Amino acid sequence: MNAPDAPRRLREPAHQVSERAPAYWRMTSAIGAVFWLAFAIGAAVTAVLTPSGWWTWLIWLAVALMVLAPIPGVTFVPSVRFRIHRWEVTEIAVHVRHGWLTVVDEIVPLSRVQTVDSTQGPLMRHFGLRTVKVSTASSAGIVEISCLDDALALEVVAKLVAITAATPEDAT
Amino acid sequence: MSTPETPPTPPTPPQPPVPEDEWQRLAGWTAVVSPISTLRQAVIPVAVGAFGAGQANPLIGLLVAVGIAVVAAVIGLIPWLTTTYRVTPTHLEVRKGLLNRTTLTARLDRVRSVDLNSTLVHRALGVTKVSVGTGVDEGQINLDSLTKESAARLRRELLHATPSPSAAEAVEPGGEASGDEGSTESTATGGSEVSPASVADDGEVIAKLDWSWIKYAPLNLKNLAIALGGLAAFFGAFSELIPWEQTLGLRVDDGEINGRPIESFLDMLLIAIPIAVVVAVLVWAAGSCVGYVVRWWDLQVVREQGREGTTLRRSFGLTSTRATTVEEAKVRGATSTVGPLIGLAGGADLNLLTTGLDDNFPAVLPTAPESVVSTVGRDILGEDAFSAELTGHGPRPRRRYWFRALIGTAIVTSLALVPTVLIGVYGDLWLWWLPVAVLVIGFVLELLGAELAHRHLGHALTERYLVVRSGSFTTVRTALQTEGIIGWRVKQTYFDRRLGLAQVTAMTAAGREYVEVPDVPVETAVALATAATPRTVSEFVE
Repeated sequence: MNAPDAPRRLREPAHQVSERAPAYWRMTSAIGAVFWLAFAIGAAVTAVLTPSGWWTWLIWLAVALMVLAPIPGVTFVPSVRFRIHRWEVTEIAVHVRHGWLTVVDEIVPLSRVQTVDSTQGPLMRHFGLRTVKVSTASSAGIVEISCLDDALALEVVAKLVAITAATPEDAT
Repeated sequence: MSTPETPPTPPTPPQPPVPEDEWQRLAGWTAVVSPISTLRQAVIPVAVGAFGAGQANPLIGLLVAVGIAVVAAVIGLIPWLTTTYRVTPTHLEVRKGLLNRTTLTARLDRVRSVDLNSTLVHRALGVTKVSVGTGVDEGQINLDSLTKESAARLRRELLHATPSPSAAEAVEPGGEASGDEGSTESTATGGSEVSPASVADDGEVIAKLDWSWIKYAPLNLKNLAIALGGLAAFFGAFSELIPWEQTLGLRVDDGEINGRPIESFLDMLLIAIPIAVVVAVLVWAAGSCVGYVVRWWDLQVVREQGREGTTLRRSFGLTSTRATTVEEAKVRGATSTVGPLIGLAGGADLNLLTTGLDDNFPAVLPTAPESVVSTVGRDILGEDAFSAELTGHGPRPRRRYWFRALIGTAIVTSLALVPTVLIGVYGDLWLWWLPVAVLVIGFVLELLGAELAHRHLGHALTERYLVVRSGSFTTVRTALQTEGIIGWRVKQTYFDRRLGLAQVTAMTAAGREYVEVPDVPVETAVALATAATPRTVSEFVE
């Protein structure tokens, strides 16, 4: 039952994340890439110095992977992410969309929200970003609005707390 | 140690009408039960320690053992001496701890479940362990152990009694859970004037164990796997210690057993293996039936009138008994599972989705005939959600499942090719039939699984429930109250987007905390979520 008359889909949530978010993601990937590069250099040196055998090409394959794999993360993925990541808080629910290859939509009614908290790592602080985390009585129901402007994030937290406090029903 | 207001009376006063605000102690037998349970955890180190010390001098070994027993007994006395509890008109309060005194307080109207659990030791002493569940994620309040009478009284006070006049008028027939029974049941709803003590003992029996269900016990492959694992672990651990040579007269030398060449034993194996298999099957059948009897003895599921709405009580067990009572309003749905062998025999399992219990996915019944499962399920769910007509997910999932089956077969077959090629190249034996056999069997099984997975996919929305079915060889059908849905997650991988499918998760606090609707066409997914929880979702749909 309840077959739709016309194909319907979830619309995009209204707001984008902070414009500084792509720079932050790019920086995170770059830090990771540095580590991978170090590993790659180590592996290449090993491949050159040890006597070559049937496994040598495997080492070179690993080196190539370690050099190439971080490239999307520091080039185009952050801007794609920025286009996909969206959020919206209404009087009734939170709607978050995120992902790159796998796109995830999460909708949680505010009447079922149990806790609202915000986190900020050292790198995020440098970029002036903050993540808002909304959790429900379900362990599967933790929703994050990541990489908001610091001030906006605190505003969202205050709004969420006010709305959830006004709906006193049992959150299960 | 002892609180100042605790009078020096015996631990359990014999007369039932105890003043409600008087602190009560645990049963005197606690002083026996808790050292035993402490010792049982410590029995191996204790034995090792005593044995090690006894190597040097038997007297020291004996002293060590006695010393440990004394320490355990003293430790066991502590809970009895330090734990007290009382039920006030509004709260359950428990004080415990020797150095860190803690006071646990639970509002009576927040008490969702009471679990009475007695092991063999408990039962021999006539005591029982009480666990009280209050909220969702907070732990349970445990009282180990109370006498049977005080445990029964406590359960009644917590879930059924109407201790004050103000609470008495709170019990209305139009409560949240009384809509559940509606047509099927009238006695419990009309029973709000009956005194709580009498109601507690004669509720409406929803289900009782039927001994003909025991035929499903040997078909339960999950138990078989556990038993085999245990057996393997046992022999793995002790094979060095078992004196094969002395007891069986077996001696294995190079290529010979007891001096005879191994080839002659291979002929014997042809006879021995079938016999062994038959004996093992018989032993398994008998053993699983015995286990079934011990576990499910005297199972009863009873609906009673509780403080707010009705409660469900499930009690069973032969050596250790267990009685779990949960508010029916906290039951958010149910799951029926049909395993591969059990399904062929016409059986199914029934589990509840609840909140506030230690195990939020409790089995209502042992494996029972499907008709019983659907009858009991209908009774508990309050409507015929399990037999609702399901909407399939169309041809797209089938294409995906068949494709995955082909890939799976290809991978397994090429894996089987590796040893064949290696043996063929390095030895002279060409096991050409091995990959062919893997290919044929794998192909048939994978395609059967894919087709079943496609046929079993389905969902429906009834008046109050979201019903989902999925699974290939094991079919799982879940009915979740739409009221109990506390969020949605719609996930689309890259391949999902190309096929127009979505993986939908309904978040809930009950049961395993989520219900999945796999491989559903994305437009159906959005329509389903909107129809199930229109207030939450509709504003985000275009």
